[in-house]
Amino acid sequence: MAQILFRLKDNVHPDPDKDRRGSYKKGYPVSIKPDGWYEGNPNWAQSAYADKTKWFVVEVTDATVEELQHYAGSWKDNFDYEIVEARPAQGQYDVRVFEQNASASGANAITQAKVESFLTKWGCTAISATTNSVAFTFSLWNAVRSDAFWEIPSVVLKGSFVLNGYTPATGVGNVTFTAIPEAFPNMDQAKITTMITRRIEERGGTIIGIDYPAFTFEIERSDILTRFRANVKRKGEGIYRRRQFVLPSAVVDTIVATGGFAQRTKAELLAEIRNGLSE
Amino acid sequence: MATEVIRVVDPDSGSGYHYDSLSDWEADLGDTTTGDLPTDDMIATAKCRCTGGTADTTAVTIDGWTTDSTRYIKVWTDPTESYRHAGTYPTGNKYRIEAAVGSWGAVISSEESYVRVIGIAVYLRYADEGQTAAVSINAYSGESYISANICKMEDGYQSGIGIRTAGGTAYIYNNIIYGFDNFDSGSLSSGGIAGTKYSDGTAYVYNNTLVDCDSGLISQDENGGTIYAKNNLCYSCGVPAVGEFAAGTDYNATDAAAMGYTVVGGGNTHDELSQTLTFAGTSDYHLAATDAGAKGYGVNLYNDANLPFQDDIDGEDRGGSGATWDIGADELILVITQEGFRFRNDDGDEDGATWKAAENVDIYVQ
Repeated sequence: MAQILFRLKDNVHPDPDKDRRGSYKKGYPVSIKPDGWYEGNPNWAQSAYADKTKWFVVEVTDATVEELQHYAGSWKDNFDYEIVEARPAQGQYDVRVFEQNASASGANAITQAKVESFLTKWGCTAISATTNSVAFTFSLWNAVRSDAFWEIPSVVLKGSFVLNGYTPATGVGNVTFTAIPEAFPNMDQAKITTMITRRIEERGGTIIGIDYPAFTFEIERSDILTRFRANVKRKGEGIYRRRQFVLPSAVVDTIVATGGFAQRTKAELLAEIRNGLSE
Repeated sequence: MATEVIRVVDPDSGSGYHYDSLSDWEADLGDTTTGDLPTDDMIATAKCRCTGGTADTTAVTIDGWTTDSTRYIKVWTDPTESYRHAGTYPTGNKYRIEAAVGSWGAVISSEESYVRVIGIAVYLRYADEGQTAAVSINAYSGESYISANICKMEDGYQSGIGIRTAGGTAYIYNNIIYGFDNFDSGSLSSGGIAGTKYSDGTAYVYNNTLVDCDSGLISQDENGGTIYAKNNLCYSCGVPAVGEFAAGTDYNATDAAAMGYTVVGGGNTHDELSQTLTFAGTSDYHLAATDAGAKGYGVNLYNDANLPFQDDIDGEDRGGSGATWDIGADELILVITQEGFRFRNDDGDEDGATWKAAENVDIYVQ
């Protein structure tokens, strides 16, 4: 068994965005507690949890804490993307990124404003938006020279890139990055070499040769696309609502009317609780 | 005068507790009337305890409040109780919060201004995520105080920051941060303390100890923020400091040959480079009494115009306005000078022992 501590009282913030993102509301799961969380605890009655105007508890008779943990999660963005058209000979792709965690009625749909700055940092062009979808052109060569790919501000000031070759059939590019040692003050050759080598390899590249300060490497397009996908998710995603799940007000009122404590099975809880994505 | 609403957070639900996690305390807006602290005329204080040795394992995000300079949010361990760390990452009955978090998350995260995090031990667990932090104050304005904390990160390849601030004015001092070294040396997204993501941000970063970090001090100044760093000790960091720091930055020490930062206008003529730094023990970053690399090299900040303070991470007085300060979070406190102390040569001969000349011996408290 495990217990879910629910919020009964609405927290309210005057800023509607902040209120949605930051405030707990009636019926939001707050935290998951182990079986016997308060029974037998001699100090519980004087704790803040004993205030039945603020909290109520649902004990799930056939679940562990781990099985319920997802109920206490925020409603977060979850971006994904698809390649609409590929032009491998040019190393270009028409791509659309979309929000998987938009609700049935369109809440939390992706907008151009939400992702445009990230896409620009990747060198993307022709950015446009439709409902829950932002389309753009992704260029491998722009991407591999971008600040976002290397996670280095103004990477063009740290060195220069030369494309030695690109094989459309395999998607492998051969690139030389020539560092400007003066752009790495207080780092000697060994440190710069270690740092750049590690960074190239971490991003999926394979070092072919080092003629300091020139680093030649091969990188496959899927590594760049994978990095892009992860980066857009990391930097573009945020919290939409403090909790993704909520118990309907009528259910809450019923539980409160019977003393603020109820028992449910996992299946019963699943049937009652509302997932924001279904709204 | 605002009413301070003090509520006890104790993961062991001991006598006098109100909440068993900081996260639950936050969800209840600290038991204030509405969480709009200026309207409530309240200060919300979470007093953290650990009466049975259990760590708080739920990350907390402070969001949905309203604050101002005199009606603020305070998360701390009360030094008059026994639940604060003793300058090392604690076990036993010392409050600590330990959690893994998602991208851009933090174990203690605040979206609010006017937040104080004091005397907390924070362990950022590994979760294969990026841009994580132990403590992150993502305020756009106002003041935040982050002091006397110990932050460490679990091994595993992820970028993480010990203490990260965004906008507003952050006062970050007397913290010990170590183990944020799982990413790239010199990274802007992994290391000890990162300040001023936003253009209007200002951070005063004084007397912190940063050990084994990808970058010790990070000025994320690409958007024009300002960070002042004084008396910080960067040891065994990939790069002691990265980015541009404000004029006045000085008196920082490192074992490296260079600090690595650019200080506007130069003037950082008192930085101590290539220092031999000696600590009390493994994962104990109090200065050893024998230290000769940080002891006495600091500038006295007792009357600093922006962030005057006088104690160290252990709450020990650094010695007043005339004292010579040590660099880093810990101040070696001279307790007594034993004059005329004589040592015997270790010649293995009790009867024929020879003696060294009398000398004075300083005895310190770390």
